[in-house]
Amino acid sequence: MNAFNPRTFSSDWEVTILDRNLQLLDNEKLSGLAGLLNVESGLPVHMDWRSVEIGLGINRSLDQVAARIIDVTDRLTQLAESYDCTVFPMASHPRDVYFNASHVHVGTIHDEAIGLQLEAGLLQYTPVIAALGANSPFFNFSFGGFKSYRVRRGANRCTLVVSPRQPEFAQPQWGGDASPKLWGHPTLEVRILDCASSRRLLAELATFIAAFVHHLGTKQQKYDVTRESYKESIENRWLAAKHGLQATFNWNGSPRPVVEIANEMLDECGDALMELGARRSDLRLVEAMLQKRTCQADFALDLAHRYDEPYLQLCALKNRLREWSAFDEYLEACPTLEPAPALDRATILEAHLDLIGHGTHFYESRMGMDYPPTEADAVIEELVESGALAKEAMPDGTIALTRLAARSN
Amino acid sequence: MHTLTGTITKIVAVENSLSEFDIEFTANAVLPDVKPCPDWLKDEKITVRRNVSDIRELGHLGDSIVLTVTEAERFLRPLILNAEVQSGDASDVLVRLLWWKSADAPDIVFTWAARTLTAKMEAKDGEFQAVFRPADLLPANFRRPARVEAAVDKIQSAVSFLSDGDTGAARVTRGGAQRLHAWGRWYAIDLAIDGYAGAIDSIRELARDVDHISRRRENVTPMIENAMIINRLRGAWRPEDTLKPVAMTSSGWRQTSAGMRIVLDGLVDEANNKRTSLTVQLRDDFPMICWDREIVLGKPKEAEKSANEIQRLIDPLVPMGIDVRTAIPYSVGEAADFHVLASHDGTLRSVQFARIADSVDFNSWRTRDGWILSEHAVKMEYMLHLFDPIDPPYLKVWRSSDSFIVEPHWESVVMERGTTRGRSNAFIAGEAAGAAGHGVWVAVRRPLKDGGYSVGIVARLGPNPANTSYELEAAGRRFVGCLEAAHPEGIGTVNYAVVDIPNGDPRELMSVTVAGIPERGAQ
Repeated sequence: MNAFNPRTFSSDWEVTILDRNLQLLDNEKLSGLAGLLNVESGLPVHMDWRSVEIGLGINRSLDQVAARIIDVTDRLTQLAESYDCTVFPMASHPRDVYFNASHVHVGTIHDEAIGLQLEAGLLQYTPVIAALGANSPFFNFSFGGFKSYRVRRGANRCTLVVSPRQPEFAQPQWGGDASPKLWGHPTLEVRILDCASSRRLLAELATFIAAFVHHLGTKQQKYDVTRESYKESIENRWLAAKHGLQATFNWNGSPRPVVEIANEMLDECGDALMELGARRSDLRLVEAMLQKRTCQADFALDLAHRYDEPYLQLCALKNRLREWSAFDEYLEACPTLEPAPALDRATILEAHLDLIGHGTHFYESRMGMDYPPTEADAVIEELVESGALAKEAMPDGTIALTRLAARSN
Repeated sequence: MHTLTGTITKIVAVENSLSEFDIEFTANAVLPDVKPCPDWLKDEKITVRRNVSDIRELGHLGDSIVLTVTEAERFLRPLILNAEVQSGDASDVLVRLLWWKSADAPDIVFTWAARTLTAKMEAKDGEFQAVFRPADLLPANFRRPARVEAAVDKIQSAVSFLSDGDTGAARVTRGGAQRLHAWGRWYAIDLAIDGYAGAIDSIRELARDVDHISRRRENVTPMIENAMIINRLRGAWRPEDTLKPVAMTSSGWRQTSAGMRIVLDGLVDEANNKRTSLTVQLRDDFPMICWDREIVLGKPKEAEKSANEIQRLIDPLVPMGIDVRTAIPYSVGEAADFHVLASHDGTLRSVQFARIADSVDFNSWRTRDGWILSEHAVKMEYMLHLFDPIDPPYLKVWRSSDSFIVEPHWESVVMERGTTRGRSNAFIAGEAAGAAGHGVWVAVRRPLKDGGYSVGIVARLGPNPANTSYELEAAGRRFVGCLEAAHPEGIGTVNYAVVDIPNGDPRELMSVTVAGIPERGAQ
């Protein structure tokens, strides 16, 4: 079986541009710059919300995509500088509410039913990809609580936990973490990846993700999603957003460091990597990240910790990220990080309790971990029974929650 | 708070330091509004010192630099007078110049009417200083209020002299922004007049000297209007900041038997002949700030439509909704102590947010009793917002990174040209409060001229309250009485009492119960 033929891949990479006063360029200016880049490069570069979305065209190898990334970003950097602006390749903004991604498109697939099977199969692996890509450790004045606020907050509803679909009952959906997207190009789109700051890393991650999806597409396997496996995937997704590559996942019922799982994925897709002209050793940044349990968010956090004011964080980060290789260099010298503890029930309860103030609409609690209704309601009931939460009906019938346990903020 | 951005012109390593650098730059803009930098900074070379572990984080020559709020303060507000408003006997004013473009001491010019006084500033403690002696410029027994302007080249500030115990108003400059500073018997407030259409930028209790709205913050604010009381006009989807650029001219202020009354006017939209007026009243008889907005929609000034254009009856329809947004700042660690309280069909409800950017738009919660109370119980700061119960708004509350925002909203309605639409609001800031399903009250103190203090209590207890009693324990005494009723226009009935405690100390503890509603925190 070979679900993808020919084997191709690409990325839609969203990059922000800042003006001299550290303000985001407006859409009109972005569309002009994107259009110019589109014409000059021949690549599908467009404007997206608060960013230039660099479509990298159809690629067949690591070298090809890496060269394209360098070509197009060199030109974008020069173009931005010629208008006294600076590129800011980061998945989030210390003061603002937008998120940027590096969506990876994996082609070429024409059988949507197989694509839906792979969608179910990828459920457990997308958290690993999220951990590898985590690069949004601040967002709208929040800082350091997650390594990917983008994944935690579902990228403002642009990357969401997939609801498993049966090919017999499926309808087109948009915005899932990884889903077939045949209404556009014949690809399976992996949306969960944060915007990369390093262009070499983007090339490596896009190639790795494509190879792994290609590899899954060779398996004659039906992926059954159970209540337990679905819950596990959702919890691992939360852990990836929280801890990045330091996360310890719950994997088929047992705790396991995410870096171990990523290593296994790399080993598994060795043949598929070869088809994309790469050996595992070519993915040198990915290898180093796994060894040091360090993701791009760790670099950004390390720098941002030195500045209290979000504008100063933005300015210092902008000065480093425009080099495109600041993370590559950081990775060489940074220390190895320790794994985070596995998820326990107390952490799950606290993640939900954290969202509750006084009179909070009960549905807010759904965001605690993106659990489906049965799991989410069980958590709330447990919190009510323990006396940490009060639940009451408002006059219009809405259920409101009030936190009774002490809060420290 | 504001800061500066600039363009780096020089980076020099500090001698004997591996991590400290002096960065010279020219100013570009003031954030967060991205406004031009002040005139006195144009083309000037400014230097700040930075300590960094990696010099690349600073950028190169020609790159942007952004200052911290603290770094920027002396450049944005270099001329500081130790008192911008003086009541009673005029005393000397210390003038400090925190930044100057050269090492040479500049002259400072004080102006009152046609009189000027020039003095040489002196270098002291890394800044320049001068002392302004009112008698050197002002005539003996000069009539108050009097405003003396101070200028060092293009840098300006001013001091206003007032009679002790007077109410009044004076134009002042706050961090580069123009404000109308008004003071009454219970509060001193600032109204924004160079934008924001008369928004309330400061409400200061006179006894405790606590400002409920304006506070210094370490970070650049997300939106400057996040710490103000502003009106917003509703667009099709949501309230919009139509009034943000609207400057107001004062039509004057006067003392009436009810209090100090200020009238401001502004132009919202010239092409559509849309104007606004604002009447602000600081009541004398009890603590209350009345804030009445009026939007006037005149006939459009644009040319008549051509006869060929299809005319529809609905074309002149203009939807108009006037919302009011109260933003109360909080500091790190204070968020958990902040609540918004209101009655929901006779039951007291409390709203508090756990996370930044959380918000709830209560589409079915109409605050029919005409009040919303914002509470910071630990700091003993309460803000009661009153409005007319015959036209109750829906409650909306949200939390930004540094403010809690209460934004009740009213639906837009059709407004015809040649008519006006208005919204009356009243605010009572205080140090104690009580709230229940059947009512709410707030108490605040003011110092008395000859010592001691008064306690003002304002309550909203519904149209025919069965119980209007109050109990006040202070200065070792117990005061019991009944509240009186008042009917401020556009606000509905309020009940109030004022108790004078001539021998009391305004800092001493007091305890209040009104209409059987106990003090918050005392239950």
